[in-house]
Parts: sequence; C-alpha cells; structure tokens
Amino acid sequence: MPANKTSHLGELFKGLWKDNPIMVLLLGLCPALAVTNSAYNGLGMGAATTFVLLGSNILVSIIKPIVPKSVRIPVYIVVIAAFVTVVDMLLKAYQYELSRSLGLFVPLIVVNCIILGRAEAFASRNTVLRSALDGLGMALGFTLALFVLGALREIIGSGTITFFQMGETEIKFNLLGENYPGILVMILPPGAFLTLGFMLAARNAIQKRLDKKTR
Amino acid sequence: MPETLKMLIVLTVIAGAAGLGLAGMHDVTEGPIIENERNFTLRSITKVLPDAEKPDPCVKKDAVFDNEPMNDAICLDGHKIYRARKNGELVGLAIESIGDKAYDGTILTLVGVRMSDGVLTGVEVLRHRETPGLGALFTRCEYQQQMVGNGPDDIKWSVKKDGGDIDQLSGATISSRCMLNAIAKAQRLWRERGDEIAQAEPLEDSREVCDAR
Repeated sequence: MPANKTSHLGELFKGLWKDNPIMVLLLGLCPALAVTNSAYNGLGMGAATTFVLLGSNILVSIIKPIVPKSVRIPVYIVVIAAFVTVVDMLLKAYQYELSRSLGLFVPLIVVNCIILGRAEAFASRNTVLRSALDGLGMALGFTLALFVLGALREIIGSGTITFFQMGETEIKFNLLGENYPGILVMILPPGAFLTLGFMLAARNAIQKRLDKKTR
Repeated sequence: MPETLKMLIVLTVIAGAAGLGLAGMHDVTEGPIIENERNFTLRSITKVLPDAEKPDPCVKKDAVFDNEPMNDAICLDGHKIYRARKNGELVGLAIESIGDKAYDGTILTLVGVRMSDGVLTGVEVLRHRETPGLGALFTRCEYQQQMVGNGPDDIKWSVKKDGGDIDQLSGATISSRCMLNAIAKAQRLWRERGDEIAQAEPLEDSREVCDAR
C-alpha cells in the first residue's frame, strides 16, 4: 500500500465513499445483512463496530514494533476479542434492549473481516494517527451503510423509522401512516439482500457519473 | 534474544494485559448487568401475574403482592415457578413453560395462572425465533386477548383449525399451536400438582435455572 500518498483527511474520508467497507469492499456482510431490520439496530451495530475498530486499530499500531511477524495474527485476534468483549459488556450494562436485539452478533464482531483486515493491511504498517483516522473512517462508512440499509428496510417493511429506543423512551417516526400494511419480505433476510443490491447499484451508477465528469 | 522466546513473551504479555483489562471492565459492568437481567425477569413476572377479575394483556399491570414473587421461586419438573401471595394465601403463579415444535426450535414463555380457578392471567414470550411479522405476532397483546382471562374449561384451548376456539395467526398456525402447547403444560401443572407447588420450599437462589430449557 502506498502509505504516504494520501492526506490525513483522505484516510478519514476514504471509508465513507471510495473504500466503503460494505458497498465497495463487501466486507462484514454477515452482521450487515442480519441485524439491519430497523434503523436503530443498524446504528447500534455500527456504533459497537466503531468502538472495536477504532480501539483495535490504535492499539495494533502502537504495539506493532514489538510484535514478531510470525505471531502477529494471534496478537491482533487477542486485541480485537478484548475490545469486543468490552463492548458486549457495556451494551449489556447500559443498553440492555439493544444488546438483546443484536444478540449473538455483538460477540461475532470478533470475526468481522473488516476489523482484522484493517489491523493487518493498515494499522500494522502505518502511524498511530493514520491508523486511528483509517479505523474511524472505515467504521463510519460501515455505520452509514448499515444505517441506510436498516432505514430503507424499516421504512418499506413496516413504514416507520426508529432512531433510538430504550425502555419507554423512543424516537420513532411513522412515515407511511398508521394503516400501512407493511411489506414483510423487507424485514426478512431476503429484504436485506435486495436492498443491499439496489444500494450497490446506486453507488456504482453515481461513481460512473463522477468518473465521466473527471475524465 | 532468540525469536521463539520473544514470540512467547510478547504473546503472553499481551494476553495477560487483555485479561487484566477485561477483569477490570467486568467489575465495573457486573452490577448493572445483573440489575438489568433482574428487571427484565421482574417485568415479565409482573406482566403475567393476576391483578384483576378479568385480566387484560393490553392493560399495564401494577399488582402488589405481600411477597416478592421473584424471590419465591421453585423448580418442578424442569419448570421454574414464581409464586405470588396475598393475605397469606397463594393467589397466582408465573410458570416458565416451553412450547415444543415451534416453527424454529422451541419457545420459552412465562405463563400466568390464577391459583383459585386456573384462569390464564397472562402469557409472555421470553425467547423465540419465529418469523418476524408472522409467527412473532404471538407476542402482541391483541392476539393474546382471546386467551387471557379464560379458565382451563371455559374455552377449547386449541386453534380453530384443530377444532378449538383460538384464532390461529394466519400463515403461522405452527407458532400459534406452539404457544398453546406451552400454556397447556402450565395448566396441567396447576391442575395436577397444585398442592405440591403450594407447599414446596422456595429456592435459596431464585436466579437458579430449572433445567428444561
């Protein structure tokens, strides 16, 4: 990877559009497709992943001088698993309902390929600052994609959009009226694939336009 | 330093540090987590225990009992049973009951039964993997209204497809049957083992899991 070519801001923003983990790299699709039946679930999963990705990228970048090459993968896994366990405990303690609805997918962040991928491909070769920006950018791109995916599925599937939910308090808007019958398939797994497919198509179409203009 | 030794030390130190960090984090979050799980159980128990002559699952309950039903639990045949008392008398049970043959695996429910006449006072699904929007609709109080408030002999406790009085959820007969299966188990316990339930000593640790899950 040509390291010093990109500016620091470039490292931050590349995850949002150019190298978006979901829409371009197609990494971490398992949690992305499974939990995004509402906008809030997408946001929650994104936030949990952001914490882990930012933490692991920073730590991997700090300890890289002392880690021998042959054991680097086990070391990264230990670091990532520790952050995931922390986020799992925090969710259970302070966002109990969210942790119930995300269920097993929080512990499964350990095997999200984006995180190990960024540790191996980026954080282990770049400075701490760059790694932090890269982690944050990638995670925000992931969160953005999950939020859009969740919001589209929720709006089409049940006519609502939920930004926050905790006990009795919730920020939820009924966009399509009380009598909207809902389109079940959008809430079910096939809806996730369909929506993601359209999102990829839209992203590619926009990218093509942009390329033509610059050329 | 030989490479192998370095590998060993680095890996050990990092794993040890991660372990220490997690132990610290665990100490911080342990309290709130136990509190959350307690509240969740407590809320479900309160939801299904009797409060009125004709219980309605869509009305929020605020029944007060002489004891803390949550701490007055027993295990019987793998069912965990919470007991509610008023004026020295056992008035209601919240029975953990498993519905077999759900659309996906089994479901775990908490079934509320009034001690005097066996009337179903509420049913709360604690764990299920039914299809959202189809089978999962059995968690809605509007669906449960046709069951709650009836005694074991007041209606025929099976779905209309099987000749009973309960409307099946359209497209999710299996899930509806499964919920009735869980309720039937609880009703059988109330009918056949009522005295045993009333006399059993409460569990010392009410968080214990009775193994039928």
